[in-house]
Amino acid sequence: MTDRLRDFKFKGRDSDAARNRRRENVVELRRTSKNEQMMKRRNFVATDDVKPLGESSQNILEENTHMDLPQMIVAMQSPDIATNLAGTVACRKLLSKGHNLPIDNVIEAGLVPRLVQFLARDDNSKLQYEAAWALTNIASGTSEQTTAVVEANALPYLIKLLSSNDEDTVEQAIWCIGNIAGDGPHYRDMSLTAGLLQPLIYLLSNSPKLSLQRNATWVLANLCRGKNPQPSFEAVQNAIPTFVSLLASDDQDTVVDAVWGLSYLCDGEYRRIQAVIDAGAIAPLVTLLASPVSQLQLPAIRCLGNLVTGDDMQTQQVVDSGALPIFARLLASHKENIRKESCWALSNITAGTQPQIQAVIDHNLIPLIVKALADGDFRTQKEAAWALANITTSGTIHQISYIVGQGCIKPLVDLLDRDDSKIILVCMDAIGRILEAGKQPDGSNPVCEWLEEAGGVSLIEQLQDHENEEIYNKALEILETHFAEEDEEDTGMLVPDASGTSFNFATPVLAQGGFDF
Amino acid sequence: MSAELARALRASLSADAKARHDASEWLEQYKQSNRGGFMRALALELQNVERNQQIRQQAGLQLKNSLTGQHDNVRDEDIQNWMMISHEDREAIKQAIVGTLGTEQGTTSTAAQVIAAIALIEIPQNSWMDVVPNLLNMVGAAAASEAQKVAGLQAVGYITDDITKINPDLLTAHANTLLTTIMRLISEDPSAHVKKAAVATLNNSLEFCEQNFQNEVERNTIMSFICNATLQPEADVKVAAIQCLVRIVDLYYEQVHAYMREGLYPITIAAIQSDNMDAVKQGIEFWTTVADVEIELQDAADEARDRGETPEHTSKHYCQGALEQLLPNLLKSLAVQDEDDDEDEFTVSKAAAVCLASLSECCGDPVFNACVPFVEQNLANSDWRFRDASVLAFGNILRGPTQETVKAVTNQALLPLLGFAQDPSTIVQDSLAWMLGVICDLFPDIVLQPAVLPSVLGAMSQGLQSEPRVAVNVCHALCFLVEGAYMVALDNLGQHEEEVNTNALSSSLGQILPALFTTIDRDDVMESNLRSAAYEALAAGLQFSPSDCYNLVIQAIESVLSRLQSTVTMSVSSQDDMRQFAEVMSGLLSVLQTGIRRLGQQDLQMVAGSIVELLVQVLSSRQYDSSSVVEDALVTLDALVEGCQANFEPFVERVKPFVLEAIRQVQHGDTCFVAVGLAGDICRQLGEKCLPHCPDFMNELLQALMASEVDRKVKPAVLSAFNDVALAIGPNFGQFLGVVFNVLAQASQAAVDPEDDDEDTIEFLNELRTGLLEAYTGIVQAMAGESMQLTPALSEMGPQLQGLLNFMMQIAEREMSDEVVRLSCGMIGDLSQVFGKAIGPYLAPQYLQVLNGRAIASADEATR
Repeated sequence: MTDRLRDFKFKGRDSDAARNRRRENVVELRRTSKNEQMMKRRNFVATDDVKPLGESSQNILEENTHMDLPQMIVAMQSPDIATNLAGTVACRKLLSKGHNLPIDNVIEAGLVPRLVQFLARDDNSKLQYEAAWALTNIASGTSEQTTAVVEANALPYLIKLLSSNDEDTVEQAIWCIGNIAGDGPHYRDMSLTAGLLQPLIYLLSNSPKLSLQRNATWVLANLCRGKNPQPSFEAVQNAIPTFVSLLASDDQDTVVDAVWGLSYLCDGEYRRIQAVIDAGAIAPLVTLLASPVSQLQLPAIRCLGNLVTGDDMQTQQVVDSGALPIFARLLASHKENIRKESCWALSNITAGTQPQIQAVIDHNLIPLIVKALADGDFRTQKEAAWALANITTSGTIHQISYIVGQGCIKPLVDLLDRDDSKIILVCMDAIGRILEAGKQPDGSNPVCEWLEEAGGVSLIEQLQDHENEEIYNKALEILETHFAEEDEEDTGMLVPDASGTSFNFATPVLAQGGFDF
Repeated sequence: MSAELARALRASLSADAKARHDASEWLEQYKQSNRGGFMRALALELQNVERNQQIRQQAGLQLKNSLTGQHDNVRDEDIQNWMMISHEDREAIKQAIVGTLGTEQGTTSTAAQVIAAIALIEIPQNSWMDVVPNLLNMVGAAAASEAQKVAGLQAVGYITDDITKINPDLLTAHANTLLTTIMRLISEDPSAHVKKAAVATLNNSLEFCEQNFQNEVERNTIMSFICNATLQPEADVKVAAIQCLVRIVDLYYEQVHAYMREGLYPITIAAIQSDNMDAVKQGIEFWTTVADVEIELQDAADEARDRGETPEHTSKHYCQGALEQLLPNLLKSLAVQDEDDDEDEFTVSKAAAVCLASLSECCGDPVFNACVPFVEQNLANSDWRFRDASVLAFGNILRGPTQETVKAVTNQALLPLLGFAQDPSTIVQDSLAWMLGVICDLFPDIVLQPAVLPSVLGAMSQGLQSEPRVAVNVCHALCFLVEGAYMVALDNLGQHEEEVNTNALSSSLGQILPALFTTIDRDDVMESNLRSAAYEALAAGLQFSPSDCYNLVIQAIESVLSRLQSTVTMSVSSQDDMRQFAEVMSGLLSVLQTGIRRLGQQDLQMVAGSIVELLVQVLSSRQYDSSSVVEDALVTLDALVEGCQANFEPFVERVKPFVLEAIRQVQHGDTCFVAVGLAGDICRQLGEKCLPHCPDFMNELLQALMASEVDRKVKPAVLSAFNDVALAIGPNFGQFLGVVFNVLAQASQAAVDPEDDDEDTIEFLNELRTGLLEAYTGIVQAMAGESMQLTPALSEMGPQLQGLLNFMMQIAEREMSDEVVRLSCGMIGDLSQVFGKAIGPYLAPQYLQVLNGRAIASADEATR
């Protein structure tokens, strides 16, 4: 409390605080001066008044190329291939330097179809390379700019370049295709239809140089990606063995993309999951799951989590693979995302059979899930709530009473206070089923009291006023079924009473561990 | 030896400086010659009940200093030093200090602190793992004495509190025994001292016991215990228990819902109403803490909503619910104060004022509306305590509520309030002056109205001549007012004006500045922080002066220079003199800094030479045994460098030795930091002309970077200074490349490695990355020359630049600040410009996407 004195009047404004302000002032002034210095070499010193756009892009044209746009057009349309090459290089340079790239100017000048023609010039791989590079930069722009490249029918020529003998050209073509296929489901499917998959797989199976392998894997993963709609399974299933063999690569970036690729492929119906399992993916995925690198953990969790959305047999194969002990570590990760995804994956297992639920319990994962439910961020809490709610749906009475003993009631109750109808319903359903499970032969129900202690009853009472019909019906149902006789009135804050005898916030029994008295 | 050691320890407490000095030399020598024997002997002295308590305590402190020094954290070298001692010595030391527990006089045990220091070193090494269970056994044993229990409990509390900052998991296994033992002592032990010590240990262990606290059943038990402890008859125990509740609501706000209405709320309100002043303060502190937590939650929730996310945690609005009971009690507490209060004592009245401010910020309008009647009713009360309570209340409720409401009320109330500026009570005057400052800060435009300003300035002028505690508030008020006047004028600038030519204070500054000069000459200026505040007001007056007051700036600088001249030549004799002169010096230099920044080139040129000479005198004087004076002199020099730009060249030779010397002061983080920045600024402003000085600067900068004891904030500053040197001398920087690349590679490793959620660490890492990227940018731009082209020198840098690219891709996966994103984009741009497509293969496309995404998402305009 001694520090509080600094909050009184201006007591905190002492000579040290003043010196700190002076020091910060110097640092601030220095930063401005230094940034200006660095900007000088970049030809644009920050100024308050922005030049009109036309003027500044004009400057870029003049300063950074040896050819202006009209000259470039002439050169590229020339019948002479050497002149074409010079024009294309100038064009590529124009599209590679500085900011505010004049992509639209190049498109409006009608140069894109010409660049596509150059892609077909098998007699001059240098020209092909420069043209692919220029197109890559155009395709990396806005969707309209990407469209200009696709509409000039570049795709088939680019795919053809994948079998070029010149590695640089191949790589450039991949890059360009990646920009196109990555633009959305439409161009993704168009690339697949154009037959991109096979040459890519062929390339990857012939151990190309590292940068090529990375880029090809990235593009292959992009081809499998997307949900609205997913690519048709027939079109992409051949990628599965390639991804599985890439899991053994020494290059982390490649592996990360390969796992993501697999996770897209097994996202969905039974046969997708089965195909990935059949390709022998589970064992290497579990190895990656145990990796300390979070960029690997995340897609591995996603992948295995997808596999356990399958039927009981498929789920069982993952349970048997030794993945569960690793989840204990993942749930304790300090990366919120890892914890969230882990809870999600486990929620798919707790939606399974009672022995599968028991496996989760036996690996001591429930306390960690309850902890995630209590103190994770909201998205983690949602997944954890699902994981536990699923146990109340399909678990035995014994299993339900176990998770209650691990303290799941309070954090479930706390979520009732959130501004999210879906999760309120999940928690209420779970609480309802826990209440059902708690009914004793003599008609008493200890759960009622614990719920009260956790502040659950008053929250559920409030939910009777919820705008969502389903929620208020559910609240009504719970209250009528389990709390019919009690009708407590809300007295507001009690008048303080220091002479009170004693305080007792105890919850009866059921806890394991704890301390002894 | 033992008698000699005791003598040295006694001498180290002597009033005679020479004796103290000799003693500490002797002790240091002993330590260096035989660390293990030295520490063992100290431990025996601490244990020796025959010795005078002061000597024992001094032995304990020496022992603790030899273990962990005065640092908060255990450093690697502390571990090494301890582990270097023989096993036998270590065990003997431990045995002696554990044996000391319960034999010391006084309320805090030095042995307990030493035990904690050793435990903090050993436990993370997986050694002395049984210290906590053994201590718990000891304090729980029926045979233990009262003093043993108290000291043992203290030791446990220190250990759990400290270990929690490192890794609580190391001791979690003992949490249950710990809680069980403590609670049994609280409920059963006959001694109030033991009970109090047990509650204090519980307080220290609350964060450590997080797992127990997260378990509902265990939490219920703990909470019942603590709440019941507040009902214990012993006042000390009660207060300590409420203190626990304060800590709990701070640590576990999310979990206290079940206890609020029936436990925490009635307990704290009753405490505030009680007549035990310590209990009142703790009760109030509870609500200040709740309010602060809720303010933070609301801020975080607002931010989350701005990003379109659902907030993770939301405020439960306990404060709102408690206002009705709380506010009347707080307003009453505001008046609980003595005529002769100590300014530095935290009283009930001050606690209530601070709490009110937090509640106002937390709950807004309801607090304001409930308090205004109290303010009106008591402003003219015949009891000064209630007049003061009225002013304190008003000044503390202005920040929270809707500003329109507050502004309207303030506008009406200002002139009547000023009427009370001549209150017979100094305390009331003090509060009035402070409240005026709050208003100047929040609503300068109200104060600057032509109809009001003269009365305000009149009241301020009177206040400046009143007691120091009143005058200091006027100085703060003036700081806010001059800045406010400047900002108001800046907002009203015409389209073609770039500078504030005139403002509402233009005609008054001519009176304000001299009044402040008079204030710094007061005989009692050293009281109540008045000196520092008056100099700060002077500096602000110059910093925010409009152009039509330029002659005042010149006059002020002349006056400051002549004061500096006479101060620097004065000789000082006593320790106290030295401190006083250091304060004067810092004050004068701070005014000079802002003055220099306001001076035009021509005027600056005329005085630059004499300022340099003065600063050299200051820097070479041994009279100011204070690193802060050196720092202020260097900052002043910096202002001069930035002002003179390349014209500073003739002075570089003169000041360089001092800059280099200051960079060598790596253990004084602030001094070193400022000096490093200054070296960079000199190079940047001088450009190529700094070439002859670069080897000296670079040498010292590299030394500082590699010094093991260097304050970590210096490192990014050094890297950033490399940028200045490189850009200043261009390709000539080639001579330093070998060694610089080496340290950059090491620093890159450090800037990627740790993945830590700790905010300070993240901030530091981002500063380090900023420094690194600046250094690399400087090097690439320097070696590429004016035309930014691929030079042979650059081509040879391939492997190092590959390292740079790897570094950039790795940090892209971490939390990057806007600054780092901006510098990364710039770096990629520079590299592409220079190398063209050759760098393509080295950059993962994902990286560019991530970077681009981050840059676009950045709120900072320049980054985008």
